[in-house]
Amino acid sequence: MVRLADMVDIEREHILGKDCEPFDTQPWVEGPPLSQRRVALITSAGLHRTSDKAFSLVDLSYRVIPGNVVADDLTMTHSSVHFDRTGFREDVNLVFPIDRLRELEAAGMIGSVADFHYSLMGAGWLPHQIEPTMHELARLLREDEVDAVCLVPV
Amino acid sequence: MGAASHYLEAEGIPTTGISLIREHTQQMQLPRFLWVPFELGRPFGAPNEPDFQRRVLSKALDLLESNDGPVVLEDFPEDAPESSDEHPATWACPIAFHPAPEERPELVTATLDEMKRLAPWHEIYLERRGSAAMSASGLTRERIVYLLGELADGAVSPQVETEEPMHEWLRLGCDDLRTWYLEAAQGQPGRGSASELRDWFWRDTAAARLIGSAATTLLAHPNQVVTLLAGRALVPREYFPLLMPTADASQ
Repeated sequence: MVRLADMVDIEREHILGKDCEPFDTQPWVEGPPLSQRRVALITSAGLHRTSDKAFSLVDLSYRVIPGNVVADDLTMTHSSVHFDRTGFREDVNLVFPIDRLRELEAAGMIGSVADFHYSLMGAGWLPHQIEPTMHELARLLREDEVDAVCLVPV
Repeated sequence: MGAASHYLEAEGIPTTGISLIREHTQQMQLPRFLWVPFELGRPFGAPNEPDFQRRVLSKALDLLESNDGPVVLEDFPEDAPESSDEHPATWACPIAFHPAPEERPELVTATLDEMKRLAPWHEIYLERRGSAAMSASGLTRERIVYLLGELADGAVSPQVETEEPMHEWLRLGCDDLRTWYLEAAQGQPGRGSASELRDWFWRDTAAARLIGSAATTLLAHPNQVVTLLAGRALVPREYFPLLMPTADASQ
């Protein structure tokens, strides 16, 4: 609901004070042309199907979002005083651009949309704590032959 | 999402991503990110703006063909449609509420009265959207109001019809209440920006006063998770002077 640049000092300083140290290595992987890539989305908006388990305040698990998901079947159990759910409720593509990705596939800009996408709870953990979760997601993404992931914060 | 990109690249999977906080992304030295000058919670700028959203996504995906690794951080050149200068900050809720009372018992009554007055507009909002109301906490909004009243009065563990621990139903319940108010406001004629609606909720409603009152009492709660939640995640720090005047916003 508010841009970082527009926040009052105390709020902005709190956010900027979070632990964001660089890693010891800087891995970088290249791939085929974008028009041949299979793309998956990973959001940290705490999205999940309404039938799925809600995210907890501190939660390192993930939820699977099928590529053919219907927007009304998604809910958000991330909570923050820095944003609200109304934008997501109006249009899921605001935080999870699945329709836009399908359009780019139809236009030939990307090769294909992955069968499965994933969601995390983007708060309450330090950067290094998400490593085991990402190892598991990497295995699932490889099984789906994904060779491009678009990471979307909230 | 910075750490996620690092670990996926280390596993051999190419990534790109959206950055909402440029300072964090720059500091972490990550593979490919597109910084966007949008509000938190809105990584693709604005709802129901498919052309704009597609431009943002295309720009982020284009970074996958960059050869300038291992660290690429580009800036998206456009502001989100809603935050452009063409929409001056002039919105005010057409429904004039009574000034929120200071006393806790009256806050519950005042909040329920606000909700009665906003309910028709929330129905209009849902009809326009063609969808149903959502409760992430599993509690009705009236129940949330009464629970907040109990907590403001010092209840330590009120009886709740959910198996979730208190810190979970409390955070989701407060979010449910705020979401309902903001949706009702969007059902009314005229349309405020996201930041105008945010300021209206926290500054002008009894519901926000009630959340602030409960959060203030919960700062002394025996459960440390609840205490942390109350001090950091129920009320934005900039509204502490108004809603939680005795709390320390620097914590």
